[in-house]
Amino acid sequence: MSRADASLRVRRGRLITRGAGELLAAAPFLLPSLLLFGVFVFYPLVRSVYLGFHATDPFGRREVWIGIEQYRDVLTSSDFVNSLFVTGQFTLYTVIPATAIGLYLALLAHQRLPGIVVFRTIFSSTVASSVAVSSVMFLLLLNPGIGVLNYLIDRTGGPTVSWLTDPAWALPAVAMTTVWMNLGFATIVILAGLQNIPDDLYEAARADGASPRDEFLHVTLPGLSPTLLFVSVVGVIFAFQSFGQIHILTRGGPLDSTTVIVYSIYQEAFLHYNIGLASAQAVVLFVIVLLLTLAQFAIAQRWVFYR
Amino acid sequence: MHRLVFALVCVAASLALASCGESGPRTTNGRTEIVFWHSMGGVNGDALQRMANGFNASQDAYHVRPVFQGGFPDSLKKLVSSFGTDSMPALIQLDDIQLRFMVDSQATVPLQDFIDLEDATSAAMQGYPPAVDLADFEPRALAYYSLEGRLRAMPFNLSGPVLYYDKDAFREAGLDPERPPTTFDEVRDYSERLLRRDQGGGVTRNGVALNISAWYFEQMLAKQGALYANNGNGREGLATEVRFDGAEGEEILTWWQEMVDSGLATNVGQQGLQALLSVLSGKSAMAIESTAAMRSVLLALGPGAARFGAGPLPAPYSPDGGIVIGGAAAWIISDRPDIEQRGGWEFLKYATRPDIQAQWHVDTGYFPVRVSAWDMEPAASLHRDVPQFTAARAQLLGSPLNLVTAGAVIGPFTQVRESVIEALEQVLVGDKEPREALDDAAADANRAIERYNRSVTE
Amino acid sequence: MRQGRTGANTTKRVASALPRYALLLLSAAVILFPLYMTVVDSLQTLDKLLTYPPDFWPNSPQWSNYRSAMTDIPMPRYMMNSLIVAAVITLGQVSTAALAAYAFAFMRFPLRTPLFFIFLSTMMVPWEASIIPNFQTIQRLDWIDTYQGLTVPFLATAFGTFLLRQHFLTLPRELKDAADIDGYGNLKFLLFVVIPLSRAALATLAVFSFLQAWNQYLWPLLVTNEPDMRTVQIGIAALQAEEVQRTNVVLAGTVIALLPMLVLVIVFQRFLVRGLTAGAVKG
Repeated sequence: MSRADASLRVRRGRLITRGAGELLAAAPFLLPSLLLFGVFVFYPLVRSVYLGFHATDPFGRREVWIGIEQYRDVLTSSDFVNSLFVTGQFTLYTVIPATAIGLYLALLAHQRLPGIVVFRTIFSSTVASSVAVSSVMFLLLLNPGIGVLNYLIDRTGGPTVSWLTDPAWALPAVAMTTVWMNLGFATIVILAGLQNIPDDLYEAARADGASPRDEFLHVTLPGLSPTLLFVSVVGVIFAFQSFGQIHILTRGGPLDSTTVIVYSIYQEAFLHYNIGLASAQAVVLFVIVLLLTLAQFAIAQRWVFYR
Repeated sequence: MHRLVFALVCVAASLALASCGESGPRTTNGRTEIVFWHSMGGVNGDALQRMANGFNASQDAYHVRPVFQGGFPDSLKKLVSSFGTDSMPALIQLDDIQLRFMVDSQATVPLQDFIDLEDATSAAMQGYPPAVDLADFEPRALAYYSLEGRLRAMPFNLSGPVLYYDKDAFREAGLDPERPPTTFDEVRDYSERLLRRDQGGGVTRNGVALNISAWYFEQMLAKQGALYANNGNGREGLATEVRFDGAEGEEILTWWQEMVDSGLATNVGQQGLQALLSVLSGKSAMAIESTAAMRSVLLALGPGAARFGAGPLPAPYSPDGGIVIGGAAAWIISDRPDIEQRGGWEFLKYATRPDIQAQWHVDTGYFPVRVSAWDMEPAASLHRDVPQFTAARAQLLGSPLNLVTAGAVIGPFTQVRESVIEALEQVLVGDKEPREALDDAAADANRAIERYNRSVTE
Repeated sequence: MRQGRTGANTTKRVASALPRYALLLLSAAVILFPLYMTVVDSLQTLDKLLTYPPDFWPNSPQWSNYRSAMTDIPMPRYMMNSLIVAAVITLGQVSTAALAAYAFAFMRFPLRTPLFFIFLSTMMVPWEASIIPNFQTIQRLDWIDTYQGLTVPFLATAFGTFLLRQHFLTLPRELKDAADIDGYGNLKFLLFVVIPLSRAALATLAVFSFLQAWNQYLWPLLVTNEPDMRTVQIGIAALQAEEVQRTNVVLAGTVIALLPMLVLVIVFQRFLVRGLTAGAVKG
């Protein structure tokens, strides 16, 4: 009895020693990342929650515990609810068009034609354009007085629009800029997804007498589903992180119609110097993104067709 | 705990580059370097650089290095972000409305300290005149930047709003090109005569281009002799509430709304200069814009500039009313070593010399900080050649000195302005009536003020 | 005869391809239009630029705008800053991710699964949500206006670790056994066996990291004050707002900022596609 006990203890002891040794061996590989995550991901998260419970002065000298007041303010303030709504709208306005147009361009560029490489290059070219470059470019196109967009509308007899100063149009205009910017990425990924669908699937479909429409619906789309999911997931992430185009084009206006969450946090923290309130917003943003990510996992398991 | 984390990062992150903490005055070529953060872009930035060059050549102890930091909000944001670090500048130029915020930040040395010191010195050495002749400084600027009787920052660039108008359009409409409208009613009447339509009924030229600006609102309120905030505009005590939601404020919003709704005025949004561009391109006959734009615009136009006149900002008349001096001031940062602060002060003395100010006025269109600069060359000949400046000057000198024209002092002024802008937008879009919009704006502003005051003083 | 038939065939093929080319051309024109107009406007005088209706062709191209962009506004400096920042971040992310991915794929150690989940969980924290404390950290370290302030927070990547681990797992186990027999240490095995076999996956990550780093906007906006430290994104945006009287020159600067990335994308197109695809299929 006691001998068995002892041997168990020895074995366990050896296991622990071995475990410690293994951990020690793995440490140099893991520590660089873990350290950085600790300082720049986990600590800030805790600190944000902490700051959300504190009133701060604009100069970083005072942090006074005030309980849940700021979290309550954030959740009940019409401004923040508005920014959630705007972010949701912005996500719809960017993800759906970028994915759809990307799919269209990819299908166009997937044809076997001489010189198609040129078109593939052109279609994917906007991936080279950064948020600042795109926004500065569109700022001039969207200028209500001298911009080309209004000129073209005017020439075709339509009513011109104050793109960035009309509360009804500002968000679509910012979304348009964003869609253009993200098109290259969407096209590249979808095109690659198309090329990954095995030819024999098409041949089999054709042998069964499938029309091009059937082929698209029953071969192309299912084959593309992981790709399309990826593109839209990345699109949603992009949308929730969007800041540059809003900072350059509209500064959140007019009438807060383009104040997405990140801009709202920025404004509260770095223009109004309400660090506590901004931190409370950031925590809420974190929770939302967490829920979204979990939802996406669930969706992925349901409908994506993995080969 | 924090300290440990930071120490860890210091060690782990970069063995080569990180220098976790250093201080002492900045130097360059054996001189003390005075970093000056400013927000003067384009032509004005060039003028500022010339001013700094002049100062650097005039002595050999200090070297002023102007660093352009984008707009004032950007610059302030950067200052706040550098509190407690070595990247703070010795001098920073910030717009007028940051007065309370900067005083509360305790990051600056009141300019009065330097003046008092110099006065004490010159008093000790009898027979020497005071180094700073405050009597020759623009009194409205001194009034604006003083709080509790002490001057806080050096007025650096001064401006006011004016009405720009197209004289040709006035002539064509049978209006006297030398008599611009001065009241809301006159602007409406003039606009009706200046409006032009094509056969289809579309407006080819409207009366006035208005860009949404909380500053114009403040100025129109002051012209009516109304306070913007309680406790004497925040100058007799800490402002705790706004006062802009009275009848005068409502009158401004109502006029603005009617002008735009009737098509007599065009709303060009929030972007500065758009209203003026509208006049230059012939789409509007009048526009409200700051005198700060005068120099660059007139310069760009060349001889064609004579077509455009400038008049006072239109608003209902009140004997107690006038414009609040706008623009920006230079602050001396207390975190920098003494020698840098002294260098900053020396530079500010140089910058506000009458001759330097006369040149600055000509280069930028900003009003001179010194009264005697108006009549000095090259300012004097500028007023002969470019009469638009004279109108702007007359408006400034015609404004009485009182709590209204001294301007409001509010901590979270940026947020207060945002609420005013929101009210203007809501009214122009038709979301709300002026009264409702104004009430909501006041409530928003008061909340921001309460939050700010609590965080600073509790 | 045979020749004739082929000829007819070709004609027919071309004829049937014509509408498809038309569609391709039209789409390409729409995609390129914003860029085209920017180039046109960057070649105008300011007067021309501000007149209505807009010109669709620069009748007297002002090439001096481009010279001004390189001399009057500090484009070269901005580009260099961006290059340094993006290169350091890319190198850092590939290194830290390869190390961690190796541990998760090839090493046995206690707490491996929980640690892996800790890595993955960082992907759920949006960077924007932790920006305030991170900013305070950088501020307290006095890293405002430094390259380390711009790069260090981004040197680790959970996504990259995950991506590389997935790839490492596809490598045959026998390699590791053989390496053990040969007495290769872990680091040696990683450097001389795993990495050469994973060039595509590493390139994937590198492309991702570089593009992301190059495109950063919010962070460099916050941690740079000195114009000398601005990245190209912040530089362009700032100039656009500040230099209203030189809009044409700023547009020239914008084109200059775009060019290197455009060349990169075109030259490495196939490579880039492979990179992004790996993310789509395996990520």
